[in-house]
Amino acid sequence: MSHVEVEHVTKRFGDVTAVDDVSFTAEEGEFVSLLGPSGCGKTTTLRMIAGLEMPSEGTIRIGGEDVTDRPAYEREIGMVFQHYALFPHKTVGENIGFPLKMRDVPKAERRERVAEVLDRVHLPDVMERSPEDLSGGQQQRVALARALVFEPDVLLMDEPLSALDRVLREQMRVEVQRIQREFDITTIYVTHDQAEAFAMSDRVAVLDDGRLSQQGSPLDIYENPDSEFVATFIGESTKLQGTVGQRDGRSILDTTAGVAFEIPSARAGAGDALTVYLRAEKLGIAPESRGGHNEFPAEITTTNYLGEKTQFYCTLADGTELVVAQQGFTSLEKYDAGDTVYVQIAPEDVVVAHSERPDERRAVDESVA
Amino acid sequence: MSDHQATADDVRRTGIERYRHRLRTTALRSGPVLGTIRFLKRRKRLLTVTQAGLGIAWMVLFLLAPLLYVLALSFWQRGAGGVVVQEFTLANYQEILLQNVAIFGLELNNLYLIILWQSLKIGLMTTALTLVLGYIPGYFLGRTQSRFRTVLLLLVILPFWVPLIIRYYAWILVLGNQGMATSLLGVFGIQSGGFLYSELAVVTGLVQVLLPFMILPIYNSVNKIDDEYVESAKTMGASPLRAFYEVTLPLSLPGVSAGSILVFILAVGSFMAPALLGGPGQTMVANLISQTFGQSFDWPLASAMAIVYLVVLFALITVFNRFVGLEEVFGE
Repeated sequence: MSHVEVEHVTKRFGDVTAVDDVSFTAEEGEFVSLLGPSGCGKTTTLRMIAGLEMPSEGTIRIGGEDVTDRPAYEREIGMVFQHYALFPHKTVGENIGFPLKMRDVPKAERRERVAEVLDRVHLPDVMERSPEDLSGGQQQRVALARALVFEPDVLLMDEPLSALDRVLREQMRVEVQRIQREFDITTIYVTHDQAEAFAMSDRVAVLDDGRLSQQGSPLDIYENPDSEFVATFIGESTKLQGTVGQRDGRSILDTTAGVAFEIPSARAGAGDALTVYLRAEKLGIAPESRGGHNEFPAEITTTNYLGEKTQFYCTLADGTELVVAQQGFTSLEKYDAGDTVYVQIAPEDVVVAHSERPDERRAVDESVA
Repeated sequence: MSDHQATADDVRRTGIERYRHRLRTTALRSGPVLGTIRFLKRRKRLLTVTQAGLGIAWMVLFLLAPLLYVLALSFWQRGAGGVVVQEFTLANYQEILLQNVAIFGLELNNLYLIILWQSLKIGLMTTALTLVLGYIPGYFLGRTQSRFRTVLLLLVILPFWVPLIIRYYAWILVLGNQGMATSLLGVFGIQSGGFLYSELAVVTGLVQVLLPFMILPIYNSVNKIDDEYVESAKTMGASPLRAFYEVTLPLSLPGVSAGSILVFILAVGSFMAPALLGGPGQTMVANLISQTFGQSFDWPLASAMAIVYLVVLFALITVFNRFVGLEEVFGE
């Protein structure tokens, strides 16, 4: 039995279905992220777990107990809001003591526990300050302390780092992780930032338009995306379609874009129609052909030097756009717009879409023909 | 003719040209950019002075000057037939503050002080009632997601389109001895001779007229409270009632204090409500001052009354601000 269980949960607002039959679980102490673009239903899902929205259908269980019909204040939930929602009329100490006050903890014990939790989030000596006098990062820690002080069953976080600037965001990412581990608390974290979700989570659930697209470890989702949405939402990639052929005992994909390259033979038989994704950072680039089945020509349209990497925007024979990203130092002077280059891809790095079943393959065949 | 002479001729031409030339040369001497900025700055200051000056002139002419005149009047004497004699005296203040006062004997016979106290009492009652009656609609309007909110807000302001005097006359129809209130109570077998010319009638009228001044600031203040505050209180274990008490109520206090001050000031200074709905026992300070000015022709005495009233009200507001001021509102 999992610690948090969300089963077939649906939420409708009038005619709009914000969350459509979503199921996932979080184990005790696990860090699960709900990842998706804005409007995908991730925040609504989180709010239903918190009890701030009531699901139209489905069941939510926390610690084995059905809490679906319980209001927020009868669930043991610690929640960090996007803008922290620290009470401006109360001091930091009173803010953190609030959940304890609601549980009728005596004042002296309250003070003690507030001091202790402030210590654990590395923010001593702010008890008497007003939250508005603190920096963004400090407010974030206070919000976390307030959500954790009463030892809730589960910690919910709604894009808590989005209000911070980039450098601070990356520092806080590490800090949130440390605190989560230290408190050993089951955490459900909502974000639209793939890097954030991947860096922090044990497991990621990708939501698309109210539906759950895929869930699994960050590695699993990156390497084996289940759907076009996941493949394109996570990182930069180029989608190509084609038919599998055999050459020299290898599986070669002849794409509709006019290029052919080797794919892992285990994934498809000759004659199959396939959709594949080429991740920008898994592609190599060279001014000269090196021969073999692992490369194809392309023409550079633009190069973007971004410091830690360089992006090459290329077009294939039929005009399909392709992105290649090169890490670290790249001798840019070798590449100009208009140059023909050779793009390399190792067969095992080709991401093959899962979804095609035989009947769907035929449909793709027809559209290809 | 040399170029130099030509320039000198130009300068000599007309006043306007001389002015332009001077402007050009000063502008050039400090460089074209700095010169332009300096010129614009001078013009801008002129604009600011004009704008602020108009406002200040308005205040001086229509508020400060009359007030100073009233202050001066209060220290002058009343001559025969209501003529103002411009000779210094404290008699006016003595009459309204010290005559017939026996505070320790608990007997207060001073007419002015009795009426001032009466006004403050009616002001307090009106404020308390509008607060109770105004918080609920103010809170509702601030919280509701209804698409009729604008219409409802319009309904709050709508009575302003009916002149004050008509609204008070309407209350005469409702509260009079043959009025709606009497007949309605008659249905339940309760006999009454109407409610007019009483404190109840004055306060009722004032509450109805001043309610929007309470509702609007409270609405504004509640409307500004982020939903996240209330929701976060709920996730931390606060029932809706406790969340209201701990979060919404304290955060709406700025609206409550703004509304209370507005209503209190307007109620204490009201003239028409006691004149139309009150009896002799409900004479308020504005009525007394008006009578002293208009019927008794004692301008110096009336001025002293007005000054004392202003000072008392000002002192009360200062004390109120001190204790319910914004710092207090945000502390616990």
